Amino acid sequence: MPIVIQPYREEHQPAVQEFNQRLQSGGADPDLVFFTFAQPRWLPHADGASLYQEYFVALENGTVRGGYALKRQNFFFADGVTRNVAYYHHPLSEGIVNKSYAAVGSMLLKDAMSRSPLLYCLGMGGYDRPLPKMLIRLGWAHFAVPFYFNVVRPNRFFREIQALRKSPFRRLILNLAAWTGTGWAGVKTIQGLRKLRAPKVGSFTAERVEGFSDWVDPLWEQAKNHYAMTAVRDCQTMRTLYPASDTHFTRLRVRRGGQDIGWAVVGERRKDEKYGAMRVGSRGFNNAGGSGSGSDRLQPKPSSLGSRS
Amino acid sequence: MTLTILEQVRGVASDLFNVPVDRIKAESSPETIEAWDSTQHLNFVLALEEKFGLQLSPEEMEQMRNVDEAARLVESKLQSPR
Repeated sequence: MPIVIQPYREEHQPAVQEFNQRLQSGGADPDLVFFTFAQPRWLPHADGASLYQEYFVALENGTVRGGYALKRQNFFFADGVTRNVAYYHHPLSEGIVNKSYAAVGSMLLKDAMSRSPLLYCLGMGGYDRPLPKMLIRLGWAHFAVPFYFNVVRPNRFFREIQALRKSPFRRLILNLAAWTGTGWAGVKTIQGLRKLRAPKVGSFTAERVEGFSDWVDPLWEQAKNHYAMTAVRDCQTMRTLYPASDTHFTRLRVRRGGQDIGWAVVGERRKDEKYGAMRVGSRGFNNAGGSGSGSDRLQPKPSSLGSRS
Repeated sequence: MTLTILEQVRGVASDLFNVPVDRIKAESSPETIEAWDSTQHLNFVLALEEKFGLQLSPEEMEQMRNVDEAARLVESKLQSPR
């Protein structure tokens, strides 16, 4: 029976649960599970929306053999045109645990490319992972985006940074760094030296706000032209991404001399696989440009980007 | 002497999976070739597309469950009007 890729519907949920169970019993990492619910909890599709998520499943006679997600959102390009671009994420294939399904991973990717020729990926864990290898083989442009870390509470950082606490030896070293204060001293020294070398930033105030409102739009209009390509971050988009009802986010309005110069969102995670129980921030727009953070990021070739304009 | 499609596909698989061509059988598959993983499957598809001047859809990519099926697919694509 051939495998076909379809939008994930509620009737597929039991088959997705069985798929997840097969991955886990086959020895896949515990975090490698596909979405339990067909309707995305965050950014579900609404009529006329340009910012939403959608899920797809690879079906073989009713059995789920893989799946992926697309997060669609508008991007502003340097040519002044706004285009809808999709973020390809959470691709999962039964090929992880059963080589009979080695084809599914590339099927998922090709299917996504046919549904949305403007695609990007990020946070893939490095060039040695299968997905970046496939994307490079398909001719995608790619570059490494380093994480910018600024550790506010070093002792908590050493106790919670799960991405570094992978082995008993590493955990011991990081615990020692936290308990003895040597980690605190090291981090403060390094960050202090970095701050000395960095361009001087004038004084500013950061005010906690309940939600984003009209003051965001002038900032977006000022900042967007500093980028070759950037996700739209106007007021409506910010309200959709970080609704006032979501208490996991702290929203900051950054001002200098009574004028808005940027915003920031601090997301609070609990039991995150990489960050433990730390609070993780994301920088916003400002007059000088610059936003966000990521790890390895890949994009289609510029020629592909222009192909739908 | 003209190589058959199957022999040419075996040659592509041999180069790609770094396995001697005499060990690439018609029934060779991801289960029997250690290096045939998801990334290499894509490389196999792209190598066949390049060699035979074809475009394979996601559904066709999945049909290539062994070397023989890949060769049959290439053969049928070459015979069908483009």
